[in-house]
Amino acid sequence: MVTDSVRADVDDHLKEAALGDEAAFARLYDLVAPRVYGLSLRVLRDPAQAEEVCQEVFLEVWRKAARFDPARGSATTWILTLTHRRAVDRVRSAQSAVDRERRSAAATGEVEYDEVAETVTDRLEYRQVRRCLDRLTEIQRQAITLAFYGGHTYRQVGDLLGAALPTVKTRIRDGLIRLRDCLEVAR
Amino acid sequence: MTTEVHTLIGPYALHALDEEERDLVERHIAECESCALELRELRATAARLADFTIVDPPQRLRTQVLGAVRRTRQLAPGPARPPAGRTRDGASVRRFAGRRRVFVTAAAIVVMALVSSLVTFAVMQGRVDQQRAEQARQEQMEAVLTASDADFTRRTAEGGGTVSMVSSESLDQAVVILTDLAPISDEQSYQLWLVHGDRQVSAGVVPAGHNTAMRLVTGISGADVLGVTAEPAGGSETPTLPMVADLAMPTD
Repeated sequence: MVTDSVRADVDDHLKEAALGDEAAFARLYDLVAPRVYGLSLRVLRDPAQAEEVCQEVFLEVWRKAARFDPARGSATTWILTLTHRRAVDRVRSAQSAVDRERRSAAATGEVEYDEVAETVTDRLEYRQVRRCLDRLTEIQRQAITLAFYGGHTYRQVGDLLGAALPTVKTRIRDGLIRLRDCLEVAR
Repeated sequence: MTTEVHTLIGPYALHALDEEERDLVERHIAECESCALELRELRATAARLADFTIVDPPQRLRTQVLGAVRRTRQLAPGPARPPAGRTRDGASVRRFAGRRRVFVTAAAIVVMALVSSLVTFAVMQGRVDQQRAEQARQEQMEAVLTASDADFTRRTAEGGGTVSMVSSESLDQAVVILTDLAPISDEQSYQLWLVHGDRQVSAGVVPAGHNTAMRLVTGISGADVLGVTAEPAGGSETPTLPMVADLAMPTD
Protein backbone atom coordinates (compact mmCIF):
# COMPACT_ATOMS: atom_id res chain seq x y z
CA MET A 1 0.00 0.00 0.00
CA VAL A 2 2.67 2.49 0.83
CA THR A 3 4.23 2.28 -2.54
CA ASP A 4 5.54 5.60 -3.76
CA SER A 5 2.37 6.32 -5.70
CA VAL A 6 0.18 5.72 -2.64
CA ARG A 7 2.45 7.99 -0.62
CA ALA A 8 1.93 10.65 -3.25
CA ASP A 9 -1.84 10.08 -3.06
CA VAL A 10 -1.79 10.62 0.71
CA ASP A 11 0.17 13.85 0.17
CA ASP A 12 -2.41 15.01 -2.40
CA HIS A 13 -5.40 14.15 -0.21
CA LEU A 14 -3.86 16.04 2.69
CA LYS A 15 -3.39 19.09 0.49
CA GLU A 16 -7.06 18.95 -0.54
CA ALA A 17 -8.15 18.33 3.05
CA ALA A 18 -6.27 21.47 4.07
CA LEU A 19 -8.81 23.36 1.94
CA GLY A 20 -11.67 21.86 3.93
CA ASP A 21 -12.37 18.95 1.56
CA GLU A 22 -13.98 16.28 3.77
CA ALA A 23 -14.21 13.73 0.95
CA ALA A 24 -10.46 14.00 0.37
CA PHE A 25 -9.93 13.53 4.09
CA ALA A 26 -12.08 10.38 3.98
CA ARG A 27 -9.86 9.04 1.17
CA LEU A 28 -6.79 9.85 3.24
CA TYR A 29 -8.37 8.04 6.19
CA ASP A 30 -8.99 4.93 4.10
CA LEU A 31 -5.38 4.83 2.93
CA VAL A 32 -3.61 5.31 6.28
CA ALA A 33 -6.09 4.17 8.97
CA PRO A 34 -5.01 0.47 8.92
CA ARG A 35 -1.46 1.60 9.70
CA VAL A 36 -2.49 4.16 12.31
CA TYR A 37 -4.79 1.68 14.04
CA GLY A 38 -2.44 -1.29 13.70
CA LEU A 39 0.51 0.63 15.12
CA SER A 40 -1.50 2.00 18.07
CA LEU A 41 -2.83 -1.47 18.76
CA ARG A 42 0.62 -3.03 18.67
CA VAL A 43 2.08 -0.49 21.08
CA LEU A 44 -0.90 -0.27 23.46
CA ARG A 45 -2.30 -3.82 23.12
CA ASP A 46 -5.77 -2.48 23.92
CA PRO A 47 -8.35 -1.98 21.15
CA ALA A 48 -10.26 0.70 23.11
CA GLN A 49 -7.16 2.81 23.66
CA ALA A 50 -5.97 2.21 20.10
CA GLU A 51 -9.27 3.61 18.83
CA GLU A 52 -8.90 6.65 21.06
CA VAL A 53 -5.41 7.28 19.71
CA CYS A 54 -6.69 6.96 16.13
CA GLN A 55 -9.43 9.45 16.76
CA GLU A 56 -7.01 11.92 18.35
CA VAL A 57 -4.50 11.52 15.53
CA PHE A 58 -6.98 12.00 12.70
CA LEU A 59 -8.55 15.04 14.38
CA GLU A 60 -5.09 16.54 14.80
CA VAL A 61 -4.28 15.82 11.14
CA TRP A 62 -7.54 17.46 10.03
CA ARG A 63 -7.05 20.53 12.19
CA LYS A 64 -3.41 21.03 11.27
CA ALA A 65 -3.64 20.01 7.60
CA ALA A 66 -2.88 23.55 6.44
CA ARG A 67 0.23 23.66 8.63
CA PHE A 68 1.77 20.50 7.20
CA ASP A 69 5.09 21.25 5.51
CA PRO A 70 5.91 18.74 2.74
CA ALA A 71 9.54 19.91 2.77
CA ARG A 72 9.92 18.10 6.10
CA GLY A 73 8.78 14.66 4.94
CA SER A 74 5.81 12.78 3.51
CA ALA A 75 2.30 13.09 4.92
CA THR A 76 2.33 9.37 5.72
CA THR A 77 5.48 9.76 7.82
CA TRP A 78 4.00 12.78 9.59
CA ILE A 79 0.79 10.92 10.46
CA LEU A 80 2.59 7.79 11.67
CA THR A 81 5.04 9.87 13.74
CA LEU A 82 2.06 11.55 15.45
CA THR A 83 0.50 8.14 16.02
CA HIS A 84 3.60 6.62 17.54
CA ARG A 85 4.19 9.62 19.80
CA ARG A 86 0.62 9.56 21.14
CA ALA A 87 0.67 5.80 21.68
CA VAL A 88 3.99 6.01 23.50
CA ASP A 89 2.79 8.95 25.62
CA ARG A 90 -0.03 6.71 26.81
CA VAL A 91 2.31 3.85 27.58
CA ARG A 92 4.37 6.19 29.75
CA SER A 93 1.39 7.57 31.66
CA ALA A 94 1.14 5.63 34.89
CA GLN A 95 -2.44 4.41 34.59
CA SER A 96 -2.19 2.81 31.22
CA ALA A 97 1.22 1.35 32.03
CA VAL A 98 -0.44 -0.61 34.82
CA ASP A 99 -3.32 -1.75 32.60
CA ARG A 100 -0.92 -2.78 29.93
CA GLU A 101 1.29 -4.64 32.34
CA ARG A 102 -1.69 -6.67 33.41
CA ARG A 103 -2.63 -7.55 29.87
CA SER A 104 0.75 -8.65 28.63
CA ALA A 105 2.68 -9.61 31.72
CA ALA A 106 4.77 -12.22 30.01
CA ALA A 107 5.58 -10.42 26.79
CA THR A 108 8.13 -7.86 28.02
CA GLY A 109 11.36 -9.34 26.77
CA GLU A 110 10.03 -10.76 23.54
CA VAL A 111 10.79 -9.50 20.11
CA GLU A 112 7.25 -9.52 18.88
CA TYR A 113 7.56 -9.03 15.20
CA ASP A 114 6.86 -12.65 14.48
CA GLU A 115 3.20 -12.45 15.46
CA VAL A 116 1.65 -10.78 12.46
CA ALA A 117 -1.74 -11.30 10.88
CA GLU A 118 -1.50 -13.59 7.88
CA THR A 119 -3.32 -11.22 5.58
CA VAL A 120 -0.50 -8.76 6.07
CA THR A 121 2.34 -11.12 5.29
CA ASP A 122 1.35 -11.33 1.62
CA ARG A 123 1.96 -7.67 1.12
CA LEU A 124 5.03 -6.57 -0.73
CA GLU A 125 5.93 -3.79 1.69
CA TYR A 126 5.63 -6.19 4.62
CA ARG A 127 8.06 -8.59 2.99
CA GLN A 128 10.45 -5.76 2.24
CA VAL A 129 10.53 -4.54 5.85
CA ARG A 130 10.89 -8.12 7.05
CA ARG A 131 13.82 -8.73 4.73
CA CYS A 132 15.52 -5.56 5.90
CA LEU A 133 14.92 -6.32 9.60
CA ASP A 134 16.48 -9.74 9.03
CA ARG A 135 19.64 -8.06 7.80
CA LEU A 136 20.23 -6.29 11.10
CA THR A 137 22.38 -7.76 13.83
CA GLU A 138 20.43 -9.46 16.60
CA ILE A 139 21.00 -6.64 19.08
CA GLN A 140 20.14 -3.91 16.54
CA ARG A 141 16.87 -5.64 15.72
CA GLN A 142 15.96 -6.30 19.33
CA ALA A 143 16.77 -2.75 20.40
CA ILE A 144 14.71 -1.22 17.59
CA THR A 145 11.68 -3.48 17.95
CA LEU A 146 11.58 -3.16 21.75
CA ALA A 147 11.74 0.63 21.49
CA PHE A 148 9.35 1.03 18.56
CA TYR A 149 6.72 -1.69 19.03
CA GLY A 150 7.23 -2.07 22.78
CA GLY A 151 7.16 1.67 23.52
CA HIS A 152 10.19 1.33 25.81
CA THR A 153 12.77 4.04 26.40
CA TYR A 154 16.29 3.10 25.37
CA ARG A 155 17.17 2.89 29.09
CA GLN A 156 14.46 0.27 29.56
CA VAL A 157 15.71 -1.49 26.44
CA GLY A 158 19.17 -1.56 28.05
CA ASP A 159 17.71 -3.16 31.17
CA LEU A 160 15.73 -5.71 29.17
CA LEU A 161 18.71 -6.73 27.06
CA GLY A 162 21.29 -6.40 29.83
CA ALA A 163 23.28 -4.08 27.56
CA ALA A 164 25.16 -0.86 28.37
CA LEU A 165 23.37 2.36 27.46
CA PRO A 166 25.99 3.68 25.00
CA THR A 167 25.76 0.35 23.20
CA VAL A 168 21.98 0.50 23.03
CA LYS A 169 21.78 4.01 21.63
CA THR A 170 24.44 3.45 19.00
CA ARG A 171 22.85 0.12 18.00
CA ILE A 172 19.51 1.83 17.57
CA ARG A 173 21.01 4.54 15.39
CA ASP A 174 23.22 2.18 13.37
CA GLY A 175 20.31 -0.21 12.91
CA LEU A 176 17.99 2.55 11.73
CA ILE A 177 20.60 3.77 9.27
CA ARG A 178 21.01 0.26 7.91
CA LEU A 179 17.23 -0.08 7.62
CA ARG A 180 17.05 3.28 5.87
CA ASP A 181 19.58 2.17 3.27
CA CYS A 182 17.96 -1.23 2.82
CA LEU A 183 14.47 0.26 2.41
CA GLU A 184 15.87 3.02 0.21
CA VAL A 185 14.03 5.63 2.23
CA ALA A 186 14.35 8.96 0.48
CA ARG A 187 14.39 12.27 2.44
CA MET B 1 29.41 16.23 23.77
CA THR B 2 28.10 16.94 20.30
CA THR B 3 28.85 13.40 19.13
CA GLU B 4 27.07 12.07 22.16
CA VAL B 5 23.94 14.11 21.49
CA HIS B 6 24.14 13.04 17.88
CA THR B 7 23.84 9.32 18.68
CA LEU B 8 20.64 10.13 20.57
CA ILE B 9 18.92 10.99 17.28
CA GLY B 10 18.21 7.27 16.74
CA PRO B 11 16.34 6.78 20.03
CA TYR B 12 14.74 10.21 19.52
CA ALA B 13 13.26 9.11 16.18
CA LEU B 14 11.69 6.14 18.03
CA HIS B 15 10.33 8.31 20.89
CA ALA B 16 12.61 6.34 23.22
CA LEU B 17 14.10 9.25 25.21
CA ASP B 18 13.03 10.70 28.51
CA GLU B 19 12.05 14.36 28.63
CA GLU B 20 15.44 15.79 29.55
CA GLU B 21 17.31 14.11 26.72
CA ARG B 22 14.53 14.97 24.32
CA ASP B 23 15.05 18.67 25.01
CA LEU B 24 18.78 18.20 24.52
CA VAL B 25 18.27 16.63 21.09
CA GLU B 26 15.72 19.24 20.02
CA ARG B 27 18.10 22.06 20.85
CA HIS B 28 20.87 20.26 18.98
CA ILE B 29 18.73 19.69 15.90
CA ALA B 30 17.60 23.29 15.78
CA GLU B 31 21.23 24.28 15.27
CA CYS B 32 22.40 21.51 12.96
CA GLU B 33 20.95 21.22 9.46
CA SER B 34 22.55 17.83 8.68
CA CYS B 35 21.17 16.43 11.95
CA ALA B 36 17.70 17.66 11.03
CA LEU B 37 18.07 15.85 7.70
CA GLU B 38 19.18 12.66 9.42
CA LEU B 39 16.20 12.87 11.77
CA ARG B 40 13.80 13.25 8.82
CA GLU B 41 15.27 10.13 7.21
CA LEU B 42 15.21 8.08 10.40
CA ARG B 43 11.63 9.12 11.12
CA ALA B 44 10.60 8.06 7.62
CA THR B 45 12.42 4.76 8.25
CA ALA B 46 10.66 4.25 11.59
CA ALA B 47 7.32 5.00 9.93
CA ARG B 48 7.96 2.09 7.55
CA LEU B 49 7.98 -0.22 10.59
CA ALA B 50 4.22 0.37 10.68
CA ASP B 51 4.04 -1.71 7.47
CA PHE B 52 4.47 -4.60 9.85
CA THR B 53 1.45 -4.00 12.02
CA ILE B 54 -1.37 -3.28 9.57
CA VAL B 55 -4.79 -4.01 11.05
CA ASP B 56 -8.12 -2.85 9.65
CA PRO B 57 -9.84 -0.65 12.24
CA PRO B 58 -13.52 -1.23 13.11
CA GLN B 59 -15.94 0.47 10.72
CA ARG B 60 -17.47 2.56 13.54
CA LEU B 61 -14.14 4.32 13.99
CA ARG B 62 -14.40 5.70 10.45
CA THR B 63 -17.89 6.99 11.18
CA GLN B 64 -16.71 8.57 14.43
CA VAL B 65 -13.66 10.21 12.91
CA LEU B 66 -15.46 11.61 9.88
CA GLY B 67 -18.35 12.76 12.10
CA ALA B 68 -15.94 14.58 14.42
CA VAL B 69 -14.17 16.11 11.41
CA ARG B 70 -17.45 17.56 10.18
CA ARG B 71 -17.83 19.41 13.48
CA THR B 72 -14.22 20.51 13.85
CA ARG B 73 -12.78 23.81 12.68
CA GLN B 74 -9.43 23.68 10.96
CA LEU B 75 -6.46 25.84 11.91
CA ALA B 76 -5.29 28.53 9.55
CA PRO B 77 -1.83 28.07 8.03
CA GLY B 78 0.60 28.82 10.83
CA PRO B 79 3.56 31.16 10.97
CA ALA B 80 6.65 29.73 9.31
CA ARG B 81 8.77 27.61 11.63
CA PRO B 82 11.83 29.36 12.99
CA PRO B 83 14.81 28.60 10.74
CA ALA B 84 17.50 26.26 12.02
CA GLY B 85 20.20 27.96 14.03
CA ARG B 86 17.89 30.30 15.87
CA THR B 87 16.59 28.65 18.96
CA ARG B 88 15.73 30.29 22.21
CA ASP B 89 15.81 29.02 25.75
CA GLY B 90 12.50 27.59 26.79
CA ALA B 91 11.36 27.09 23.22
CA SER B 92 10.54 23.45 23.81
CA VAL B 93 8.54 24.30 26.92
CA ARG B 94 6.41 26.71 24.94
CA ARG B 95 6.01 24.23 22.15
CA PHE B 96 4.76 21.64 24.60
CA ALA B 97 2.27 24.06 26.15
CA GLY B 98 0.99 24.93 22.68
CA ARG B 99 0.54 21.32 21.69
CA ARG B 100 -1.42 20.65 24.80
CA ARG B 101 -3.68 23.66 24.28
CA VAL B 102 -4.49 22.54 20.76
CA PHE B 103 -5.35 19.08 22.03
CA VAL B 104 -7.61 20.44 24.76
CA THR B 105 -9.42 22.61 22.23
CA ALA B 106 -9.96 19.70 19.85
CA ALA B 107 -11.19 17.54 22.71
CA ALA B 108 -13.54 20.27 23.90
CA ILE B 109 -15.07 20.48 20.43
CA VAL B 110 -15.75 16.75 20.40
CA VAL B 111 -17.25 16.98 23.88
CA MET B 112 -19.45 19.94 22.91
CA ALA B 113 -20.86 18.01 20.00
CA LEU B 114 -21.68 15.21 22.41
CA VAL B 115 -23.26 17.70 24.83
CA SER B 116 -25.63 19.08 22.23
CA SER B 117 -26.67 15.64 21.05
CA LEU B 118 -27.43 14.52 24.61
CA VAL B 119 -29.40 17.71 25.24
CA THR B 120 -31.36 17.14 22.04
CA PHE B 121 -32.07 13.63 23.27
CA ALA B 122 -33.35 14.93 26.61
CA VAL B 123 -35.60 17.44 24.88
CA MET B 124 -36.98 14.84 22.51
CA GLN B 125 -38.18 12.81 25.45
CA GLY B 126 -41.08 15.22 25.54
CA ARG B 127 -40.39 16.93 28.81
CA VAL B 128 -40.73 20.35 27.32
CA ASP B 129 -41.16 21.94 30.73
CA GLN B 130 -37.66 20.84 31.54
CA GLN B 131 -36.30 22.42 28.43
CA ARG B 132 -35.59 25.69 30.15
CA ALA B 133 -33.68 24.03 32.97
CA GLU B 134 -31.77 21.96 30.42
CA GLN B 135 -30.89 25.12 28.56
CA ALA B 136 -29.47 26.74 31.69
CA ARG B 137 -27.53 23.59 32.46
CA GLN B 138 -26.21 23.49 28.93
CA GLU B 139 -25.04 27.09 29.19
CA GLN B 140 -23.23 26.29 32.41
CA MET B 141 -21.57 23.31 30.79
CA GLU B 142 -20.56 25.30 27.75
CA ALA B 143 -18.95 27.83 30.06
CA VAL B 144 -16.80 25.02 31.48
CA LEU B 145 -15.99 23.59 28.05
CA THR B 146 -14.93 26.93 26.64
CA ALA B 147 -13.11 28.22 29.75
CA SER B 148 -9.63 29.45 28.94
CA ASP B 149 -8.21 27.05 31.54
CA ALA B 150 -10.29 24.03 30.46
CA ASP B 151 -8.40 20.78 30.93
CA PHE B 152 -9.39 17.53 29.26
CA THR B 153 -8.93 13.99 30.62
CA ARG B 154 -10.27 10.68 29.39
CA ARG B 155 -9.96 7.14 30.69
CA THR B 156 -11.15 3.76 29.54
CA ALA B 157 -13.42 2.34 32.22
CA GLU B 158 -13.16 -1.09 33.79
CA GLY B 159 -15.59 -3.30 31.88
CA GLY B 160 -15.70 -1.02 28.82
CA GLY B 161 -16.67 2.48 27.78
CA THR B 162 -14.98 5.74 28.64
CA VAL B 163 -15.16 8.49 31.21
CA SER B 164 -14.27 11.96 29.92
CA MET B 165 -13.89 15.11 31.97
CA VAL B 166 -13.40 18.74 31.06
CA SER B 167 -12.56 20.74 34.18
CA SER B 168 -12.04 24.42 34.83
CA GLU B 169 -10.21 25.46 37.94
CA SER B 170 -11.34 29.09 37.64
CA LEU B 171 -15.04 28.10 37.46
CA ASP B 172 -14.52 25.35 40.07
CA GLN B 173 -16.62 23.03 37.89
CA ALA B 174 -16.23 20.06 35.62
CA VAL B 175 -18.32 18.36 32.97
CA VAL B 176 -18.13 14.58 33.25
CA ILE B 177 -19.33 12.30 30.47
CA LEU B 178 -19.85 8.58 30.79
CA THR B 179 -19.98 6.84 27.42
CA ASP B 180 -21.07 3.23 26.94
CA LEU B 181 -19.98 1.98 30.36
CA ALA B 182 -20.70 -1.68 31.12
CA PRO B 183 -24.49 -2.12 31.01
CA ILE B 184 -26.15 -2.26 34.44
CA SER B 185 -29.63 -3.35 35.55
CA ASP B 186 -32.42 -1.00 36.71
CA GLU B 187 -31.47 -1.98 40.26
CA GLN B 188 -28.17 -0.13 39.88
CA SER B 189 -26.91 3.41 39.24
CA TYR B 190 -23.54 4.79 38.29
CA GLN B 191 -22.41 7.41 40.80
CA LEU B 192 -19.68 10.07 40.63
CA TRP B 193 -17.37 10.88 43.54
CA LEU B 194 -14.90 13.61 44.36
CA VAL B 195 -12.06 12.11 46.36
CA HIS B 196 -10.24 14.36 48.82
CA GLY B 197 -7.45 12.28 50.33
CA ASP B 198 -9.31 9.48 52.12
CA ARG B 199 -12.67 11.30 52.08
CA GLN B 200 -15.18 10.73 49.25
CA VAL B 201 -18.04 13.09 48.48
CA SER B 202 -20.85 12.16 46.11
CA ALA B 203 -20.78 14.28 42.95
CA GLY B 204 -24.03 13.06 41.43
CA VAL B 205 -25.99 9.90 40.70
CA VAL B 206 -26.91 8.79 37.17
CA PRO B 207 -30.50 7.51 36.64
CA ALA B 208 -30.81 3.78 37.36
CA GLY B 209 -29.89 1.52 34.47
CA HIS B 210 -28.24 4.29 32.39
CA ASN B 211 -24.69 3.65 31.19
CA THR B 212 -24.27 6.85 29.15
CA ALA B 213 -24.71 10.19 30.85
CA MET B 214 -23.38 13.67 31.33
CA ARG B 215 -23.09 15.51 34.63
CA LEU B 216 -22.03 18.97 35.72
CA VAL B 217 -19.90 18.63 38.84
CA THR B 218 -19.42 21.70 41.04
CA GLY B 219 -16.99 22.41 43.86
CA ILE B 220 -14.07 20.48 42.45
CA SER B 221 -11.35 22.50 44.17
CA GLY B 222 -9.18 20.48 46.52
CA ALA B 223 -10.29 17.14 45.05
CA ASP B 224 -7.50 14.80 43.97
CA VAL B 225 -9.53 12.35 41.94
CA LEU B 226 -12.89 12.03 40.25
CA GLY B 227 -14.17 8.48 40.58
CA VAL B 228 -17.08 6.49 39.16
CA THR B 229 -18.68 3.50 40.91
CA ALA B 230 -21.66 1.21 40.35
CA GLU B 231 -24.11 1.50 43.28
CA PRO B 232 -27.60 0.29 44.19
CA ALA B 233 -30.24 2.36 42.32
CA GLY B 234 -30.36 5.93 43.64
CA GLY B 235 -26.78 5.96 44.91
CA SER B 236 -24.95 5.29 48.18
CA GLU B 237 -23.48 7.27 51.06
CA THR B 238 -20.04 5.82 50.48
CA PRO B 239 -18.59 4.36 47.28
CA THR B 240 -18.64 0.61 46.62
CA LEU B 241 -15.12 -0.30 45.58
CA PRO B 242 -13.40 -0.97 43.27
CA MET B 243 -14.10 2.11 41.18
CA VAL B 244 -15.13 1.63 37.58
CA ALA B 245 -12.78 4.49 36.62
CA ASP B 246 -10.79 7.17 38.36
CA LEU B 247 -9.43 10.35 36.80
CA ALA B 248 -6.74 12.41 38.50
CA MET B 249 -7.75 16.06 38.76
CA PRO B 250 -5.36 18.33 36.85
CA THR B 251 -2.81 19.72 39.24
CA ASP B 252 -1.56 22.80 37.39
